[in-house]
Amino acid sequence: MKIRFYGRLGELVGREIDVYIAGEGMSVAALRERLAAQFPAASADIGRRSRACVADAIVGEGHLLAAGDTVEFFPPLSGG
Amino acid sequence: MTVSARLASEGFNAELEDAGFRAGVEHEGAIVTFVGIARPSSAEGSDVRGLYLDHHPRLTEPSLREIAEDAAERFGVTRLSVVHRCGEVRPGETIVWVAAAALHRRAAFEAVEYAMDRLKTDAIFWKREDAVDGSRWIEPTTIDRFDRARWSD
Repeated sequence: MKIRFYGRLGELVGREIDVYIAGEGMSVAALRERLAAQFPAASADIGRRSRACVADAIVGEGHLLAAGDTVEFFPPLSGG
Repeated sequence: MTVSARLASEGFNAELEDAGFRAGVEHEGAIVTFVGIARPSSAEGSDVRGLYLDHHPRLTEPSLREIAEDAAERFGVTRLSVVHRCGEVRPGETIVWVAAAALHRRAAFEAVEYAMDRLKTDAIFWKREDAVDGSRWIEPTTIDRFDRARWSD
């Protein structure tokens, strides 16, 4: 499964990483926990401060991810 | 109602945007424009070398369009355009340009203000300020969130 990060997270973790998940899938909440453990410096930002996005739509914590998904994490937005 | 929204990866000229917008106006009595410019110093007063606006390859431009459409519909303006930079922006360069045209001034003023308040918090960008004493990722301030919230129904 590919994971992309933007903004501050992209700098802390890298723009894109590959994560192996087993066939039965993984919830967004579980993925956050796993990434937070893997990247302690980014754990606060990977937690609830960022939104998860799959197929260009924001998904909730219970959303089940499959191995072929690309998940994107959006930190708080700031434009203008 | 004519709405346009453009993501600009290179610098753009706000005066040319003004002129193009003006040329498309026919029967309206008011045009309001806003130009947002990259500041040369941070909130803490240190010199800023530039801003970096990270964006999403597919979602950022549609987010600009959605905000522009919402602003035009909400205030009944006849034309509304947004141009927003992404990538590296130097101090003094234009980051964002918004224009609205309406029969009367009030709608045009309000539509531009609403669009800017939404762009600060809802447009899909992540802004980093690179100052001489370090870089930091900017998040909407309490004031930005308050400005956004006052338009909530």
